[in-house]
Amino acid sequence: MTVLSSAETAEQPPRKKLCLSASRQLQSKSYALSQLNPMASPLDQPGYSFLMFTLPFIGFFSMKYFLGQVLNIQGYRVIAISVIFAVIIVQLIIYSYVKQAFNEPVNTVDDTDGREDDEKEQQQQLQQQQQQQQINCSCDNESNGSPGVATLCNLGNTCFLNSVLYTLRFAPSFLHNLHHLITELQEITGRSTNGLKGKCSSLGRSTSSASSKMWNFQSSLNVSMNDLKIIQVTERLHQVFEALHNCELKDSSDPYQPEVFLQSLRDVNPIFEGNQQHDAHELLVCLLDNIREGCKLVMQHSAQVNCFVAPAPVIQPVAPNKLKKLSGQVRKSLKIASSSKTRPVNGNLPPNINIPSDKVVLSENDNFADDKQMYVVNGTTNAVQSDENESIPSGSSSSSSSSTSMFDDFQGVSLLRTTCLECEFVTERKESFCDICVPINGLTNGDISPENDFNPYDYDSVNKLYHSAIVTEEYLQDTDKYWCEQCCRYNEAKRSVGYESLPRLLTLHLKRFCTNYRAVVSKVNEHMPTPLTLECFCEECLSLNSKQQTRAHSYQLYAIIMHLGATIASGHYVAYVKAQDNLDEYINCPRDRRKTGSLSATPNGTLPANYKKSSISNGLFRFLKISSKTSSGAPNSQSSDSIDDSGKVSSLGRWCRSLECCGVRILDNSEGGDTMWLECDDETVRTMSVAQLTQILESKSSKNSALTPYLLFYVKVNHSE
Amino acid sequence: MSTLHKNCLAQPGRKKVQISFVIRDEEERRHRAGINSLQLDSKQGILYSAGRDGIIRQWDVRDNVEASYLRSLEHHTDWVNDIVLCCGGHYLISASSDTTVKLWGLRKENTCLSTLRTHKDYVRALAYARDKEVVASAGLDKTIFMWDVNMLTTLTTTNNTVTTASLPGSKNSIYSLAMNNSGTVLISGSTEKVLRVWDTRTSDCMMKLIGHTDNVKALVVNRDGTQCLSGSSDGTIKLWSLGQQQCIQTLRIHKEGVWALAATENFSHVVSGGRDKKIYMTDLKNPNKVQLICNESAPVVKMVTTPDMSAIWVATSESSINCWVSMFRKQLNRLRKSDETADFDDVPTEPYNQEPFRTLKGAAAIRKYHVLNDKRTILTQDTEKNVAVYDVLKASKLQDLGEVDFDEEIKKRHRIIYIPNWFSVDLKTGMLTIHLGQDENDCFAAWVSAKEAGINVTDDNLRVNYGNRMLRSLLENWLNRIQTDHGTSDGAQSTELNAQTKLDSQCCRIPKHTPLMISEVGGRCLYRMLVSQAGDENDVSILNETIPSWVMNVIVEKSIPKALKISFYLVPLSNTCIRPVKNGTLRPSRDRLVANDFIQVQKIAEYIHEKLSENDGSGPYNKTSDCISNHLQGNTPEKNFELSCNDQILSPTMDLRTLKHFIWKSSADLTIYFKAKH
Repeated sequence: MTVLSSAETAEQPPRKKLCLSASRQLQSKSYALSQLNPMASPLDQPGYSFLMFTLPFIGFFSMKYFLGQVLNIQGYRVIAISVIFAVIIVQLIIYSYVKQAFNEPVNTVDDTDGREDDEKEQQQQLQQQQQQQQINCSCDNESNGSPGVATLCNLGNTCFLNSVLYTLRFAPSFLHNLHHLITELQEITGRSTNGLKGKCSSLGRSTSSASSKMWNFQSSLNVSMNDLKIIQVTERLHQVFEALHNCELKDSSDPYQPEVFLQSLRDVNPIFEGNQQHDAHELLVCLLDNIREGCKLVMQHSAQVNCFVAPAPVIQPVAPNKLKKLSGQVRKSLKIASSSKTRPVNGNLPPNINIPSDKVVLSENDNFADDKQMYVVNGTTNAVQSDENESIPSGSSSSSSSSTSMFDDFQGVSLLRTTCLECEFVTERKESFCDICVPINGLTNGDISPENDFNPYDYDSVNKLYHSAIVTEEYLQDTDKYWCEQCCRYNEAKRSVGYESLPRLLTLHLKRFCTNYRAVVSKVNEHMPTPLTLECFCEECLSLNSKQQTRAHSYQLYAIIMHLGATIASGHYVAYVKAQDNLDEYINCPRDRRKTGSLSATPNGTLPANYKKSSISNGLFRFLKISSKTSSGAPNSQSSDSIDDSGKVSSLGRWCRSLECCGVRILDNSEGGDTMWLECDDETVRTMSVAQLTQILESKSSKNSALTPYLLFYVKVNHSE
Repeated sequence: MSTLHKNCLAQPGRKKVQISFVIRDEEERRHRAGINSLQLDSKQGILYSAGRDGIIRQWDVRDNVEASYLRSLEHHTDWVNDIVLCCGGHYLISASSDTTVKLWGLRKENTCLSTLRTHKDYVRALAYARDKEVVASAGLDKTIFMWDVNMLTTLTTTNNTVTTASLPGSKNSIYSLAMNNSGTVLISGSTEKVLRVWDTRTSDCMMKLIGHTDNVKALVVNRDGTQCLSGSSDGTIKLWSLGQQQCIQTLRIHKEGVWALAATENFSHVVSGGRDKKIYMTDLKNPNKVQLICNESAPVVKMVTTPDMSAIWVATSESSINCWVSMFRKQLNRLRKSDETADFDDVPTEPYNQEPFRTLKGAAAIRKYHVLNDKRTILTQDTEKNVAVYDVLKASKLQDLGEVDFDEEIKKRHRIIYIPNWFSVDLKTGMLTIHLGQDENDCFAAWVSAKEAGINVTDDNLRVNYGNRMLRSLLENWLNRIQTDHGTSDGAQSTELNAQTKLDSQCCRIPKHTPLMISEVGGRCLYRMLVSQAGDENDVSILNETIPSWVMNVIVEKSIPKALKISFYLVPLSNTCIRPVKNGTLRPSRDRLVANDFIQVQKIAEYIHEKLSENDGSGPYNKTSDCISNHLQGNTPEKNFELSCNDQILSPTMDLRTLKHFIWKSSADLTIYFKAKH
């Protein structure tokens, strides 16, 4: 495996940022070696490299001399035999490297068939190596203004991936919701998470083994293969954030390689196959799709569970001895041990159903409790329930509430209105959407140009610009008339797009490409101002506005993904995210099902083994220290204040566990009261002030090296009365 | 800016041309659908109403006389959107969605004098300047044309060139127009949501009045062109000062769009109506003084008032016209003294009138239709929920069923027969309009056996093509005319002609009053006439020019498109003693045959019979025993064999396409099984 990874590195074009899985200190050397010989081992030592440089040449020339002088053989055969001899020497050196490296017998170095057998061991070793590197590595990034935020490695053209990951990581409440979604999904798939998770979070390339392990469970579940793949992507996404969290805990500045995640993404969507450049927007849509599928699954599940649940609320944590007595009447998500097959249970369960009581566990129990037990959900009566699944309201059960709202965060409802101009009968069609496409061309030179002189720095006119681009109106006329059912004829009609509701996290997709008459797609580099605050344009707000009242909400920019490059085909993505602490949302989280507030409830194995040694509480204390530090520096930050109040050890229990799992580290070097922004460009993360950001946003860059906003991310702010 | 307009028939360009006809009574005394415009000749006591059925009707509305229908002006083929009376009631100009503007003589002729085809899209609005006798027309093609009425009246068929001024520059479809009496100011309202004010002398847009938030559908300008009132779909009425170029008053009375306005000459009062079906009268000097005149039963489209504003004629999207009285009517006034003087803080809810003063009853419009499987009978349902049965081939109504369940009736009349579509139906005028040739192949797709078509002939094999028959009988007069003109009356052809006519008359009987339209698909009408007129001197030459080539080819050149073929496999059922053979050897494969799609099952039985009779081994089937031979004697073929498809036994009269459509239900080649009956 290690051999393979180096080889891949060597094949990467020099433009890409290198990402050797091996140590940093040896990076340059092993790279040089790998150029010479693709089979070089990263476990290099100076002696070996010396040998590598010298021995083959000595062998070559000595053989040549031997054949020419001693045996009197002339011509190309001399050269050929000498080369072969040199190659044999090289092979021998490599052989000895590998042998030393693995301390175990290896048949032949380039025997690919043998690789799979040893894969596991190799992975474990690699894992250990990586961990060692992570621990050993000093924070040499500190010098270039890094805010101590974990970084993501560019795996070759993966800036599209990194920019989206950075953005999602800093999206308000996203991590928290994701964590709970994952927890619920794992409950549904009945998968023990311990072993797998611990492995994946730090392991570079365990895809094949991990997934093969995963598929074993599949047969006994009522979750389809495709669903499982989708869940896997979402889980891997979570693991990326988990790993980043761990990196931050350790102050490791090593960029994390989201390779496992990328791999599972490719499993689900083939367009991300190959090391091509991709559209960040496509990736975002794909990720949100996966999350939606996950949410749907949780909802379906909870709907099924609800069928078992009597109207009365279900018991909270039950002691094991009570449980046995209950088992006869248990209705809610019975979990049967993995050995038994999924039991079909009817919706109208007879009260005396015979289930082996020793194998029944209530779902209320900590699902991390036993990793050997496989949970199977008794939701096999889909024939009855599948129809109801869709109609179950999101808040129907406490367990489903979190994940269903997860996707709602991104989903709004648009309203397509068609009005016949003759009879003025209105036909409405509602559609849900995840992002809004904002056209750029024709907008700046369209309506707004001369009459009401447009000022890109004026808040109102910028908002008007966005408003007119988003809430559109067009006429169906000429040959494109509208068939009016009321008039029984073709009439002109007005078709308008409005928004019944806008999501909490609003994504604007600037349409930075246009197709010209030759069907060539080109990038639109025109400047489009980016407002830090966007007025809400949902139906409610617009009607309030027309009545001269203040709107019910507005939108605050929390992230931007910028595209750098003159053409649409290639370029670079950089994410700018607002560094805000969302700690308050973790307090008293209703979805956290931890029984006690003790820190020992941290799930086993979610943290790497070495991390366990340095007590977990220490890690959390660090969080608190940092946060109190920030809050003292930022007195107007409301959330920090609340942390100060609750920042005592006694109240620790009120913190949601997800914070310890994948939360974002609070910045420890933010100065003043200003909100800080982070410029996330693959391995480098830089802090910047709002002023610096606006400077970047307002600069009308030249046509050739255009750094243009591409995806804008806004979070809804409710104006309380 | 002036463009030369040639008032002649546009040649059918690249657009496909269709032939249409309307199924209606000879005299339609009542409006069939909504009414778009009204004009009142108060001196003569005549009300003119422009209907969505394409007919302009005249009504006698003199005082002290029972209001009654006088006559119709019929030549438009689509909604008539607006009309204006000019030259003191001598002429009427109408604008229609058939993209034409027409001039009608009212004094003697009561006919259409000329047709102006300058507009490229629906003509939506007209405006009239009494002092200059100028009419402006505008529509969805975004252009405004100015017409000198005196010049229009002098047009003849030979001198048919009109010079017209156009006012270009509007970027949006125009829905309303207004011009003051002296014709100095022209105002247009459009989906642009602004009012454009034009100087008619220079054809320039003088100003834009911005303020409305939706389409402007009604406009009134005062006598001297200093003020104007606009009614918009945003529900407001705005009073504008053209001098100040701004809105001086906004009335928010209506809950929905304002579609119709009428004002007193001095702009003291305005009457407004709209989508909310209410008509209000507002005192412009004191805008709080609002009087609800009446609650109409449908959205108000247009209003005209008597000169003293005492009575208001109201056109709605329903077919009846109501006359309502206002408080200006003196004799009623005293009863409601208190109402008149009262100031209203809120818009009143109690109407001034409960019942209309006078009503011109309209008829119901057809709103729903269903073409039955025989592709000649149409079931319709009108606005009063009455169901009727029409026969397309006879172009007339067969039966009134009264208020019955439409869907039930469809089910009841369902027959298992499949005939391809050969026409399309249009209900926009509230009457059945049948279009032929919206898709050329369509029209001649329906080949039907003579029996099915209801023709009494002895020859069982006679087939008729519905589309061909229909076109021939629609254009019968014209056909006769050109055939005599060409002098092609030698013996053989004339007998053939006679036979054809006989066939036509048996198959299709088109009433002579049926209007016949030749138009571009989805748009402009090229020519309209009655079926009886098709042989007239004048019309023949025009028809020769306008009749599309696809019709010419078929009914003059007689090259009728071939019927569709269906290929099918004929397979003996395994339990019979018949085996398919080829050249004397047993053949496992099936027999693929091709036949016209209207061939009946009994024909196939005959074919099998015939083939089996060739008992010399050269036929496609081999009888392995004598059992068949016994059957072959005596009986008719269809009694000998039983044919089935998809396990259903086929009736001998079923034709192949019906079989394919209802039993086979797949686009793949048919497979028909047969066996000998025992």
